Amino acid sequence: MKRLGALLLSVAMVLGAIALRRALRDDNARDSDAPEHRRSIICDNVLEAACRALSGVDVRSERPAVTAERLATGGSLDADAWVVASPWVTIAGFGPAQPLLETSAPIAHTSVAAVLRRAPELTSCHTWQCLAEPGRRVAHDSVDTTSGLAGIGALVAGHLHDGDRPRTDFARNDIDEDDGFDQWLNEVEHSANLVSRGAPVIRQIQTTGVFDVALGLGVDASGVNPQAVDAVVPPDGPTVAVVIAGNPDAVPLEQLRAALTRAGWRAGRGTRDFNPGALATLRERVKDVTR
Amino acid sequence: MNRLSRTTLALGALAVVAGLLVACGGDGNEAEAPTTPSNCVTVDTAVSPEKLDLLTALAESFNRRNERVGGDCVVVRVQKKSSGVGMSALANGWDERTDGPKPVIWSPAASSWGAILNQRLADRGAAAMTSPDAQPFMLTPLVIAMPKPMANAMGYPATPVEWSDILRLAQDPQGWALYGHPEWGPFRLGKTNPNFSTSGLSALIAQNYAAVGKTQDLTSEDLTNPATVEFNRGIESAVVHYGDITMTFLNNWYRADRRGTALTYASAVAVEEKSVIDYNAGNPDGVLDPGEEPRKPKTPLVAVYPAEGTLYSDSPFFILDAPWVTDAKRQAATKFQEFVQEPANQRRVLKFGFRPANPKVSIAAPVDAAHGVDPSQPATLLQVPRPKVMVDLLDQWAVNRKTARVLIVLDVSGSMGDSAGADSSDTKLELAKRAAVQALDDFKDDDEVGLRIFSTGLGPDQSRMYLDLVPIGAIGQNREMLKRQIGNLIPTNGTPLFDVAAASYRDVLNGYDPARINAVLLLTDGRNDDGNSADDRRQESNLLTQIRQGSTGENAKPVRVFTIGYGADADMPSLRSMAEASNAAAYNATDASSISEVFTQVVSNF
Repeated sequence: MKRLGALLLSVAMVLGAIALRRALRDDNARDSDAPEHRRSIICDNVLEAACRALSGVDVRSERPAVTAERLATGGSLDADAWVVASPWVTIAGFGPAQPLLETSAPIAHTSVAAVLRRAPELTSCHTWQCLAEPGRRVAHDSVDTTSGLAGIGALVAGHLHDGDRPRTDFARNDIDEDDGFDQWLNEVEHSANLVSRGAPVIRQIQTTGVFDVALGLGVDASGVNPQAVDAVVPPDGPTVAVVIAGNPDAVPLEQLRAALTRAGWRAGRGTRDFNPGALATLRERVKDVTR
Repeated sequence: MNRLSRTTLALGALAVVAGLLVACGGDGNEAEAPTTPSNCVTVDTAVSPEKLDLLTALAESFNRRNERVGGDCVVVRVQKKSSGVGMSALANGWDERTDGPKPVIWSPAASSWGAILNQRLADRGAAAMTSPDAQPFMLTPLVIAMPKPMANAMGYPATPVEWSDILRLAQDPQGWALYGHPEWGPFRLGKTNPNFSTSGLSALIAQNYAAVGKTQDLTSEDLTNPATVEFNRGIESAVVHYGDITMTFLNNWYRADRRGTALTYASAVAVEEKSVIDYNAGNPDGVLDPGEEPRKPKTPLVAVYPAEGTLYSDSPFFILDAPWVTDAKRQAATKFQEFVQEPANQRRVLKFGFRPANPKVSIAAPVDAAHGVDPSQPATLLQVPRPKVMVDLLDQWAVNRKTARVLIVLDVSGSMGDSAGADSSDTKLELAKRAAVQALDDFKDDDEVGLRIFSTGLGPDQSRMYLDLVPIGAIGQNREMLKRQIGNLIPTNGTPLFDVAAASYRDVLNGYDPARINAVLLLTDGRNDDGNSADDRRQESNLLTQIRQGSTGENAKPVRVFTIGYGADADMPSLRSMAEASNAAAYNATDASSISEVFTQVVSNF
């Protein structure tokens, strides 16, 4: 009788264990059968409007320098993908042992533009070389933003011109080897008096402020008041492309393309990209002289 | 066994089976617990900077091999440690709080550092830590880098160049006119401080062997022989300045080359062969920064292998005889050492301009004539002197090196009274004072040093921008007064940076002594603030023009302006411009707690 009892007890224990294991497995299965988590993306703040038009994704707008610095210092992207102007992805990879994020081909691009105060001396000043001449009062957005960094980058391309063409592919060496560069940059950075109110600076040029030229992205130049100022895209200037870094599948690509096109971006790759490392150096130099 | 106990056993066994069924699941999907360094034998490896990238990459490859020692996994971790700094840290007991993890493998740039370490330890009665038979990892010989036209003017390569040729050129008042090129001015030699730099140390050994006509068995008596002393002083007299790293020379040379003035900045610099390869590839400091593009210099360098012989920087793998190196760590380190000697890994050193240490791997590009070097050289190798002789060499160098004439210019503006940082109870001025006082001990007695302070509203009538607290004079007599004056400094008003820099440069130039290294050492924590910002740009422009004019050409009287940007608000761009205009170097101490280390680096130039 005792033997039978022991046998029954042991069978019960085995059956109990199997049942418990099945229950645990079912729990796990339920977890893995759960609907896919909602995708999250971080958007370069100049692209926020286009990103907000996407469906099925959570969008966080962030200055690209914030994201890049988080990545460069060993932090995570903290989202599935990053929709951003291409130089920032490379800049984020400059941190110690930080590999570059997987990056899509360029989706859209825009030129860098300038908006000029109406003045006789500026009427025919429609080249980057002319705009970069000493004495111009120049306004641009923060170099922590794409419009700010690309704007001052284009002006540097004009300053370091190669004959009558801007040097859009300037390298760090060109900045280092130009004896007068820091002085020129210092003058540029202290020349204008225009308080940013959140919107791109080239849209503010008709408001009060002391400046000759404001720099920004071509997509933003279309919003300026043509009665008050001249918006120009100087020839042979640099272009800025939008890419997806991280998991490209997290972004509904066609929706993004359409939204960017509606915002004035042109499809595909631009023709004259910046050297991202040189832009990173330039950003540091600007911070040095404006500290 | 009775029935009850059999039943109990059966129940127990079933319970175990049941427990395992629950615990293991049995579907085989669980991954093995990730291996972390904490449960592995960790081989911490301290390496000199030039091989950090390569050895880090090799360590990653090695770690992926999952090597084991006594059943435990092995992980190699690499940290950067300059050779001289590593030697000092080991000699002083290696403080993990400041020096990083204690190394199992130490790989300085050359075996000579191991000899010095052993001697330093022996002086304290401690046992040697390095073996003289350590296996080299990769090789690069010390060479004298010269602009190609200058080497050719001396008849190189058809005519071998000796250290005695350098001595003759250095001492002949005709300078390069001796070789038909008066436009190149006097012979100017670049050599680093042997207390910090492997190239400087190897050059010192080589010139001493040359002085006594030996290739081995250099003795302490040789060093004090009057003829040797005379020879060394003659060589040192041509030095433009010293410094802790050869990159300062190479960057300045490259910058001068871009301006077309390379031939009047320096005639020759003692560097490793690898640096000539890097320079000619357009990467003078061997590090491509983000955004930097290699651009070949207009005037390439050639590597001159001194006829008397030279030494290899051999990157030895010292598996240390230290208390923290257990048998397991030693075995693990040996496995890594064997790994880096494998031919496939040895071929990787070529990409960095080094020669493989494994003789089974052939020397190939870029170690070739197209890059300004000769793979068939060096014809004569010099023996690393015995440890005691190495230490005597350094002591003798401290006596024989070129003397300096330096005006220390310290900012005492109001902001110097700010806190040195969240972790510090000191003001920036307090920290700077301590660092400056400590650095004074690194000058030798016949160096001439003066002290100037600057701010606005100084002097009895509060109208002066600077005050000379100690006029330039022999520090052997001034040292205590300098320390006292520095100790008494207090923060005051504004920062008339450009005016004071210009005045200081002018004053040192007016007292220029061609037999000395003439320099201004300027420390500031701010930007120009003299009460009138309208003329800042003009002031800076005038200053830079003045410095450039004085520093360029065959008749230049080079006064080097070494600058220290101190604290987060220092105007580094302006300080960098001043230093570069004078072919000196700007030092960054924006982290105020680094000021002591930075002062030591700056004073290594003298």
